[in-house]
Amino acid sequence: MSRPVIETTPAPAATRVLTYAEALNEALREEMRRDPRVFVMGEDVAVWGGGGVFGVTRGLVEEFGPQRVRDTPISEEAIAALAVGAAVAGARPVAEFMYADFMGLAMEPIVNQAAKIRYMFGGKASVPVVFRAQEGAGRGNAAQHSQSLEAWFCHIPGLKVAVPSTPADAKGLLVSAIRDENPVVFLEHKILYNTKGPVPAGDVAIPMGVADCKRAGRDATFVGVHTMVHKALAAAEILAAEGIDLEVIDPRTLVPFDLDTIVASVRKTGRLVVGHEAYERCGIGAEIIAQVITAAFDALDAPPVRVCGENVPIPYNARLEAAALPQVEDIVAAVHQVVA
Amino acid sequence: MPTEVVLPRLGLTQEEGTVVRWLKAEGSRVAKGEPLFEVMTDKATLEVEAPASGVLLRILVAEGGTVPVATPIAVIGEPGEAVAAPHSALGEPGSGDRAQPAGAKADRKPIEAKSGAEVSEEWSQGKADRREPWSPSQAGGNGPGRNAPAATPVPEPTGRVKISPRARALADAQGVDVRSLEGTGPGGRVIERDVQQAIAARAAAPAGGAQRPAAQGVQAAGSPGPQAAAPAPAAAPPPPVRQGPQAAPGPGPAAAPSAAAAKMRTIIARRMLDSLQTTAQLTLTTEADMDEIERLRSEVGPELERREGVRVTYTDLIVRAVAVALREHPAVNARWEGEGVRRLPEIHIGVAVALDEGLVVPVVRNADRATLAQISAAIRDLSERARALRLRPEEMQGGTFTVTNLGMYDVDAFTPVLNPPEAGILGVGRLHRRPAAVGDRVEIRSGMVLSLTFDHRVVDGAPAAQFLQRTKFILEHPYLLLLP
Repeated sequence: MSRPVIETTPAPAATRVLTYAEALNEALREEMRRDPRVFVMGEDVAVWGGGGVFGVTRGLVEEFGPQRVRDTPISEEAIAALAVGAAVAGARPVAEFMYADFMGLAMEPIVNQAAKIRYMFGGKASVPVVFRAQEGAGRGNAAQHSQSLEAWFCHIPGLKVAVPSTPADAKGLLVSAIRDENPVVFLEHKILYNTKGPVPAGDVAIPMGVADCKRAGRDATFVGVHTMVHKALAAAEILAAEGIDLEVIDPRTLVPFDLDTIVASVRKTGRLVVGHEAYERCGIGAEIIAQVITAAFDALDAPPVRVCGENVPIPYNARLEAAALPQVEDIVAAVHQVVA
Repeated sequence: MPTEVVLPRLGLTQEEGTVVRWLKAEGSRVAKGEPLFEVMTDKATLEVEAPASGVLLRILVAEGGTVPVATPIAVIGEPGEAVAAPHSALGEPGSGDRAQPAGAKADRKPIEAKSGAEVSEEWSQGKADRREPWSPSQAGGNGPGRNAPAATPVPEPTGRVKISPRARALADAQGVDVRSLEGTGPGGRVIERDVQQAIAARAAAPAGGAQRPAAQGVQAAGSPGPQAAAPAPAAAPPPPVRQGPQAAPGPGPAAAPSAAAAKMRTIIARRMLDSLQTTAQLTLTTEADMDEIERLRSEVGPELERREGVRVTYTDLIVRAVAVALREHPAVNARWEGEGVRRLPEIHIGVAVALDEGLVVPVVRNADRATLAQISAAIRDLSERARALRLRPEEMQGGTFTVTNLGMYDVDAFTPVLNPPEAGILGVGRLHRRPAAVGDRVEIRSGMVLSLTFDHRVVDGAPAAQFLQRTKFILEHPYLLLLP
């Protein structure tokens, strides 16, 4: 290591307002200071543009040097496979994919190696790697750069999947992901990078598999990820004016999944709406609804409803893109449907 | 193949209906689309057309008979055609002859009312008789079974209850008979609030009583007075019941006119008792000066009559005033829903109409968005058809507030009874000339007492009083009624 490790001194539990990108940057910086095995790698994470397309790794190469902040060739398979090998060998890599859409090229090392090695070796090897990527639409990035692909990874046993929606969750979950002994697919959302929120200073790991109630309500439960959390909070204000009290729950990680919190909410409200930007067909909304129905059939007072992306390639045209994505008014309409 | 005539479902929440009159006799020829019989549902009587052409082979439900929706009530076919015994007209439960082939039953006696449970049991029995299990898709087809249902669509086997899992779990836990419930969810689904309402109604009823409040005797309602904090009258005077609730006569084969009256009385009895036992209602009164509105009516009325062909009544003006006031006081345009208050996005005002048979309350939709002339035309149309017993059930549903007028009987003030689930009802007293203080002088002016009954669960005394005050203000400054 080119630089001395700086021991983290527990900071006073102050809370600052940071952007989502800054919160992620802080998590990387603090974990790299805390643990010399942690390093980051990816396309343009070190030099070009000063730390990644969205600036998440900004300033890291200056503090930790090019050995721990490595630019890679444009090969997603190479990025993933190198990270898996380094993890098995004892490092704790944080590999970045510029767009989640490109992870198709890296599925072999992620799905067949990272997810399976611990199992295939009877627990004698582990793969403590984090695969970071950003997904989602809303910037006119068109069909090949706008998808939300979390369902792909949720389907594979052996992978954990995190989907933070706020700066505080982004930092706390990334810290947990880096410290996890298992591979974590850490999916950020490109629209959220510049959103701001309070982030506690210091060591603030948020455990995987603990949902967060972003708004308490009594009439219907909304479960959604990423931008849908924020859209649901906006919808909740509209609904509140009509006297409908919406509870908004962010599962924060999809694997492991905090079914208990969601079932407790549905037992209270009797009504469930699930939302994600990802295509509706075979999206995680279907999985969430299936689990809730199995666990709490007798709590449901109306059929659950999904508010999801259309089953179409995401259009470039701004109006068509907006039409293909679930919007605040779609959530309002879905809640009307379940509380009718 | 003979066509079965079934009792149609004419309203979303209708469970049963009474055959008031057959317009054709057995053996006479009918044409498809020709009026065949009159049915009485939730307070309305409607003519129903024949679903097929042919001869009215048999009447299964006599005049005055009350049966569940979708029950076969007659058979139309060709002369001499064998009439297969319809499924729900089979032998009495337990008679042991269900296995006999069709046609063996010569029982031509029109059936009496059957409960949903009996019919349901017959359905399941019929299912057991068949080689193939019954499925809804066979209901309208040429099934192989001897009971092959006719071409008339049969919505669902009677007795099968569309109910949410949550509502069923609650009903099971509380011992509520789900067949007795009226579903208010989408498509008539029974949902949690319907079960909660039944539990509340049962709690308010005498111990050991039957499920339906209508079947129960009068119970002195406890005084569920408003609690503390509210800046309202501490206790509501017990509102007099306009029509004494009485044990409802069971549906029976009485003569048609009295059957209609008895049916309406049953519904009124159940609803009024339900209102007084399950809400926290009390009444506020105030008096409005009506000189200005009399002048408005005398000046604007003839113009409106000439241009729009409507004769504006005081009721029309009051409905318009209430609609405007409700828009400004949405807390009153709301209802109690189990765990909280739900404000209603639209304003639909019911107007009570007295009939010889009883009382109906047709609804003026979106009254706050209608002009005075539109309100006037709507009320005239609804009340004329109400008196002819020709209102459709949906025209008496969905109200959010009611206006009722006893002024024509020289009543000054009264305590109207809420029309559940509405949270407010305005009683209109007589309009009369009386001495009034104007400044320091006494003048003879027109006055009218307004009596607002509201549900204290939904709205507290002060906001209810503010709504009443605003209504009075609008009536005293009636040119506001002409604003959009």
